Amino acid sequence: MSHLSDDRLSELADGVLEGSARAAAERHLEGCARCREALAALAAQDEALRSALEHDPGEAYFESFAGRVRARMRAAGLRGAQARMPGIRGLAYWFRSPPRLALVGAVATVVVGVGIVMVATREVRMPVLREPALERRVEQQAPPPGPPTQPSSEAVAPPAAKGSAPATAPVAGARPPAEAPAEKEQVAPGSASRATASGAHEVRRNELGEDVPVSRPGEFVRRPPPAAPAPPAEPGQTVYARRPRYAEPLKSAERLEAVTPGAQPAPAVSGPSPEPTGGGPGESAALSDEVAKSAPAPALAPEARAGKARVVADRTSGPAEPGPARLVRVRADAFDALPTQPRMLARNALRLTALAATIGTAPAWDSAAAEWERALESMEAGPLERDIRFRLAHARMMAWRGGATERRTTRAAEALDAFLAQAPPGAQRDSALAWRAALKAGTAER
Amino acid sequence: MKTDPRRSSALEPDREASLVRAAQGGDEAAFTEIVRHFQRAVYRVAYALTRNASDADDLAQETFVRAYQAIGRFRVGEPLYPWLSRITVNLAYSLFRRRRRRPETSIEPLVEAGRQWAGGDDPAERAAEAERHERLTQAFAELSPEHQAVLTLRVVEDLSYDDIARSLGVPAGTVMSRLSRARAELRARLRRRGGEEP
Repeated sequence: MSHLSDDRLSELADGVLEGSARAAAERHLEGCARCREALAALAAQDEALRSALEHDPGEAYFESFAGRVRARMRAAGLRGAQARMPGIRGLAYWFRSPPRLALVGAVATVVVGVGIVMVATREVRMPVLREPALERRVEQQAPPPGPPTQPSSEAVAPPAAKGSAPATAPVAGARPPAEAPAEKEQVAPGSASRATASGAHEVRRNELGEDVPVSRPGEFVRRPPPAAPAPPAEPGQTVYARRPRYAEPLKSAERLEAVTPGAQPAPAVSGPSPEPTGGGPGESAALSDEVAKSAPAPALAPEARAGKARVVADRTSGPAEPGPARLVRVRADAFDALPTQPRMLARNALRLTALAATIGTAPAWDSAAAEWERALESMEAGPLERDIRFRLAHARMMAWRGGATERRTTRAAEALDAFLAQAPPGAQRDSALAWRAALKAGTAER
Repeated sequence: MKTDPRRSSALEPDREASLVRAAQGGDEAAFTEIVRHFQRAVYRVAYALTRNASDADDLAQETFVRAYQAIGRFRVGEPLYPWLSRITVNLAYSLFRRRRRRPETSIEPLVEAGRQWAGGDDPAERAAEAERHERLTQAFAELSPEHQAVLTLRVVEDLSYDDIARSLGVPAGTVMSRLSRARAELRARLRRRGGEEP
């Protein structure tokens, strides 16, 4: 027989057991003396405890109790319950509550944690290194080959549009910077002829300010069309010659023609060399023509390449001669084989010579002669050295003719003598001898 | 006339609510009426937990001071006495903790014992009754604060399980089991002391 548990006895003692549980417990108590004694002991214990824990301080104590409580409240500085109503307390009082303080701490922790996570996982956008406009141009497709267009400095690429490419890409001319690289990209591999037909090719500018086409190995370039014959110039009239700006790549058929043995890529200066006539107003023009026809051309002909010549105007006064004989042809690449310093000096002297031929004054020829002398000082003996001595003598001679002075006479004579001392027989020597005679005669006249 | 404390620990619900509203609005007279109505019950609980008249007086006054401070947060309609007894129990817990860290020697128990000895007619019977009370009080004092509180609220104040649950902040089922264990623990301690049960 199981007895009533302590919980059941406690519930019976407190009178909270109800229903069937209470009925079952009462039936058990009727037949179980031990449980009855336990329940009675529990009730006696409660009664004894109540009696032991009760204390009556007396009525006087409770009469004054409320007054003592009010005094204690005033001593604590309490002015009234409304002063402590929710919503009118200060923030410090609000934080005195431990649950609220814990709530604030939890919220702060969450906020800080979220902030750290956001900072740690923030995606840094990489800077855009590519130009979108340029990429669009790269994706463009070149149009089908059409009729080649003549290169023109004024030609401008059409507006960029997907599926269509600019038809022409001239070398010179103002274009937006973003279009230049896109134009190069238009030349797809294997479509060189298309690019050639459209005239688009790369050009670089050399130290002389000339536009030099950059061709790939094995690629031929077209020599610019020959300049139209200049009309006969009147005495004292300025004659302008057209300067080719660039060369044009050859078409495939023209390449075959260019490599054919015997084909003359560049029309050489032809015609018999007129003999200098000594003094007189027309001699300077004849002398320049002589230089162009007889002296430089034979010496530089083996090194000649098409499209590398410069044509400058010879503005001199004197009797007009028939045809384009007043043009002086000098070669810019005649000194390509020289080391850097003499090559630069020689090219500079060439430029000054061309300038002097254009201006036609004695000081200009003096400057050209001085530059030829500097180039001569940095050169070793050889054919080019003799050629430069001939050019120096020519410049000194022209300076003497522009304004004869004793100093110019002496320098011209020295230059001619230095050239004649080592000049082999030939056209240059003959010219130098003629100049020497003219110099001697002019000096004698004065 | 001595008022039965267990019957005076509750007001009519409407009257209690009106007093609480008035006290929340700053009416000190209303709060004084609340104090007068519950002062005996609060003192009983304070004395049962401290077994000391001085501590009980201090605890009872502090209970009403704290109640006055917190009356604004009290929800009107809830029974007021469990809320007050909860304040008293919590203050007693704090006092227990302070006493445990810093024990005090007081002559108050001796004074209280002498006062009770002076109440009866038969000296031998008074001495035996005092001894039983002393043994029971010591066994009660050895209980945990939670067991002391639940026994006080049930045995001394005769609160229902629901009111005890509100006062202690625990479920009603916890009150039942805790009360059973407290009674059993008290009985066991009385047996270990060698004396007969009350």
